[in-house]
Amino acid sequence: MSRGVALFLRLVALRYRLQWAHVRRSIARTVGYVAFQIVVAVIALWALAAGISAFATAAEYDVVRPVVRFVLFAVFVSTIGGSVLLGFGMHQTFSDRALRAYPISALQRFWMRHCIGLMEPLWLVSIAAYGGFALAAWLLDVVPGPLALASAALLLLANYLLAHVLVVSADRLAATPFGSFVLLLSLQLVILAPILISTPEATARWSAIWAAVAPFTPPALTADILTGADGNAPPLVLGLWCLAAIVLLAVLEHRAAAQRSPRLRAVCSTSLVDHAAAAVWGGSAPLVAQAMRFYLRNTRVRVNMVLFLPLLAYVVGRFHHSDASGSLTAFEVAYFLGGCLGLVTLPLAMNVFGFDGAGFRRYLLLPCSGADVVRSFAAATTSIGAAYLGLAWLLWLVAAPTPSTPTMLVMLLSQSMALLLVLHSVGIWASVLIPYRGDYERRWSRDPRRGLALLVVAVLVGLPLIVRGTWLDEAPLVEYWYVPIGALAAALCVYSWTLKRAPTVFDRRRDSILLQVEARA
Amino acid sequence: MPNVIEVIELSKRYGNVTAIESLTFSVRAGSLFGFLGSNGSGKSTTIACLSGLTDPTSGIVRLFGKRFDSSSVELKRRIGVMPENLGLFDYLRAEEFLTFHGRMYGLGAAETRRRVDELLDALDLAGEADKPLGKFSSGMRKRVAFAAAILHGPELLFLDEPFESVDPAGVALMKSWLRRFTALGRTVFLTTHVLDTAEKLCDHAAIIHKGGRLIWQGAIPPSTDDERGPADKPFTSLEGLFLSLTGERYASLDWL
Repeated sequence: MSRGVALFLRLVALRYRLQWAHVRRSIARTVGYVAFQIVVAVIALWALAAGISAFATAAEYDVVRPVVRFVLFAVFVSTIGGSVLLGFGMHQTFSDRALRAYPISALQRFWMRHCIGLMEPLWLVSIAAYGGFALAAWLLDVVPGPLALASAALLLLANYLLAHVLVVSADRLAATPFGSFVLLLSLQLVILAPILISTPEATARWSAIWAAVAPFTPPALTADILTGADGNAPPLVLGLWCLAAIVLLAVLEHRAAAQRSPRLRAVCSTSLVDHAAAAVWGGSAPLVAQAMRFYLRNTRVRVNMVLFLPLLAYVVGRFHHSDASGSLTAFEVAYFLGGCLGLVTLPLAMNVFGFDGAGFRRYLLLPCSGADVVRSFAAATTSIGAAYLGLAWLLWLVAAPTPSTPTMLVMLLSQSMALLLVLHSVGIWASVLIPYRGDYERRWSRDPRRGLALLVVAVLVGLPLIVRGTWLDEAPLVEYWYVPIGALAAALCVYSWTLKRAPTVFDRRRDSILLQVEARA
Repeated sequence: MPNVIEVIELSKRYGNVTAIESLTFSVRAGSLFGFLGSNGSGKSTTIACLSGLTDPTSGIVRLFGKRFDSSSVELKRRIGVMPENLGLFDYLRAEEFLTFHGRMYGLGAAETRRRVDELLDALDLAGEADKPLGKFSSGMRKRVAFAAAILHGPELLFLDEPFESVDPAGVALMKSWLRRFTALGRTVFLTTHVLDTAEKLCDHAAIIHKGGRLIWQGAIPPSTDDERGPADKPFTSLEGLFLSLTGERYASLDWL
């Protein structure tokens, strides 16, 4: 066995030993870890079986190629989405810097890191899904076994490499002065694309472009190989995809990330923040001003604040031009605005102490109570959201769809305020109960726990929309004036209860939070 | 002189790990007290308990004669702390951080402004006005944390490894300030594992060993007839005392 392979196996063993060392200190963690491994294994087996049965069934009905293309493409895209946007599967146990301590070459470091990275649960499930299709193609004698397995392996490689290329590109871009702005704008464009191209002409045009490009994507090429397409072109192009991704990733990783030094004076005036805090919060002003500065200095929050304005204008403008039945959609608009307003600061507010890092220790040393700390951060983030809410409400007032009766305006305000308060309550509890060491300035999407938090927010936002679609579809909205007002009252109760109870939990968990945010747990 | 710090049977456990165990000692007002021990002996945990960063698992801490814990806000106003990892906010400038600190400790705006300017100037940080603390070198960060600890004129100062990674000029300045501080009747409690520094700077010291057990407390320089010292192993310095008490030895490696 070569020295490189032996070292790789030792690192793999160390990876699991480190995971085990992390969980073995508590029975709950141990049980959770073992349960998670079992769940991953079950999902992987299910994905394997689903791949085989989907292929076999599609073959029986003679629709094997479109089905395999569709399923592989869905797995491919969802894996990239899950890893790039939510951070699943992006964990790297050993950084390049850590491996530099050992006598191994740059090339060895590169493949070792990424081979170990492929053992993340997300990729294991993808391996099973792609493997299922390959096995089915082999067992049904559509293509020779080695070719089927090789094409599935190449697809997995392309998938993994492209996800990493996107994540590393995002990291590099985020480290440049306007990088975060460009990233979030791109993300918004991707999310809003289905709305922006909703006209029949535009849809037809984009569909034609997609139809021309799709056959050359890795999932389509793999589907072609697995379903017995003639010629050498698909394997060749798939190999080129992998090669290009490897080169791109190596180049991106080789380039050192830019060291960004924020120009603080330009960001916000010290005195402005202090005066604003002193005017509203009196005795707690220094702490609230500090919390304000924490949010306003963060690139992600600043970018969210800027990007929210065109989004807001777009939403209001779009509904302004809709017909009179727009009043029925006000529910969604208000809910959408509330969600957006929450998200201006929520990416940080969900883990506020973790993103403060070493500074958290200082709060515990200062002559102030845990309640002061928790409430100050809550006050700062809710105030920023509420300021935007006021702006949104004014914009609606000026450019709202008809009819904008006073009842409608109160309903809009109540509803978006309710969601804002609930989201921030979730943020406070998440910060106190599941903190972790975070670094939003440098990394874009490397933490699956943040992905889970965003999923929770998505569920929170999505669930009432489903309820509305099911129950309120045909009725005039104004008849339900009491719903948003009741929701606001309930949200105020939740928020007040959170501000009362969370500090107690904060005080009880201070040691644990400190260990978590300083990554010593 | 009355005792400023009284620690009685103090213990701190993290799960199954005992960081400090049944620690009992006291520190008199006006002294420059060195808290010594090898790596991992529990020095920082002791400071964390004494400064309110964390609460002990058991035992009592009294500061200025009053019971102290992490929620003792009024007592916290009377102490200054330079913690183990400094606890700086990376996104703030030094001046902003110190101003925030001064305001939190109840200093007026004008007084805070004056003291911050003087401190930044004296600690040679005035030229770094536009840089966030996250971009400071470790020595500069230490200076800022030291400035924050003394800014509000505390009566009791806790310093965790204050001189590590600070340049010689900075160390000399900090030492002279600490001497003046104690000359005014205020108290300094500092941890270090540089025995030479402790011997030259401190007037009293305590030594703790692995597991957070106190093994010696007394005046500096230590006396050979100190009854708590090892009678059969005479020593001439704090280092000699430390090594003889802790049983540390110089291992020889045949392959080195």
